[in-house]
Amino acid sequence: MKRVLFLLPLIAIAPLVHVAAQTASKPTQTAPSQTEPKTRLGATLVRRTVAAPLVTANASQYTQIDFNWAYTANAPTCGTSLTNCFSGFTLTDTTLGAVIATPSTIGPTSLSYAYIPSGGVPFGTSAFSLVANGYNGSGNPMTSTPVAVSVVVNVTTLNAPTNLTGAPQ
Amino acid sequence: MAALVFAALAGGAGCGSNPAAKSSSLTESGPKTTSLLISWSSDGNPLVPVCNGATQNCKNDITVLDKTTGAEVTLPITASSYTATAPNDTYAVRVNGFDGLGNSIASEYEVVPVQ
Repeated sequence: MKRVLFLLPLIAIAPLVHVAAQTASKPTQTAPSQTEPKTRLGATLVRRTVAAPLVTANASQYTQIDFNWAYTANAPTCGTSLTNCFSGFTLTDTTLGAVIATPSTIGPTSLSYAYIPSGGVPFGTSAFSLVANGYNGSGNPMTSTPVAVSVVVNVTTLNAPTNLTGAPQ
Repeated sequence: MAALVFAALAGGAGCGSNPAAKSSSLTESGPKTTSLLISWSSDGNPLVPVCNGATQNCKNDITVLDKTTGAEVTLPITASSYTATAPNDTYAVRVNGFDGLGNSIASEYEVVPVQ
């Protein structure tokens, strides 16, 4: 009765929820001379474990989302001088409008990131975007076109009440 | 005097009371079952949020079914007990809610085991 379907690069299996993830990209934002992360942005849900028990009642049994992507930089990695260079990535939860991680966390050599939402992964759809960050020749910040991925955790079944008893009065 | 002694014995007082007679008296005047207290410790879905007006990915309410008559009672999802007035009937309880598409879903009916 309990089952799971997970569509995309990686697989998660869990009872109670229906899970799906998909990628979509090509927003209109452009940034000259800063290539975008490849559209193969993936997201994997990680199940709650005994060691990581329930945090809130409104979250699913997933505690973590593992992102991964491919990227070919068209500028050197930034050093001490922040000009004409690539500094890393910014991951944003576009559903909540919150930045999850910046180049200080996701550096230029990173191709994955493990996100642990506070309180767990919520039920419903959570959308994320990833952009590459860098600096132009004048030292002004640049960002690439974003790539996006969504994670969906749906309730598909409900359990009956537990420890049900009837006491004659 | 003889009447007083007889009265004391008939009332079960004193060392000479008849156990058999006392037991018979309790059976006849014992309390009658008038209701059934149905209770549960959890709705069984601690990770699923309460709907509170929403219609997706949530638990909404609890149904108590009198399987004998077919009558249903709907309780708030926060309820943890229900007193049924027909104690000899068979009851079952389920949880209702909505899936990710907004479809109504429900648990299986769990038959109430009577203690």
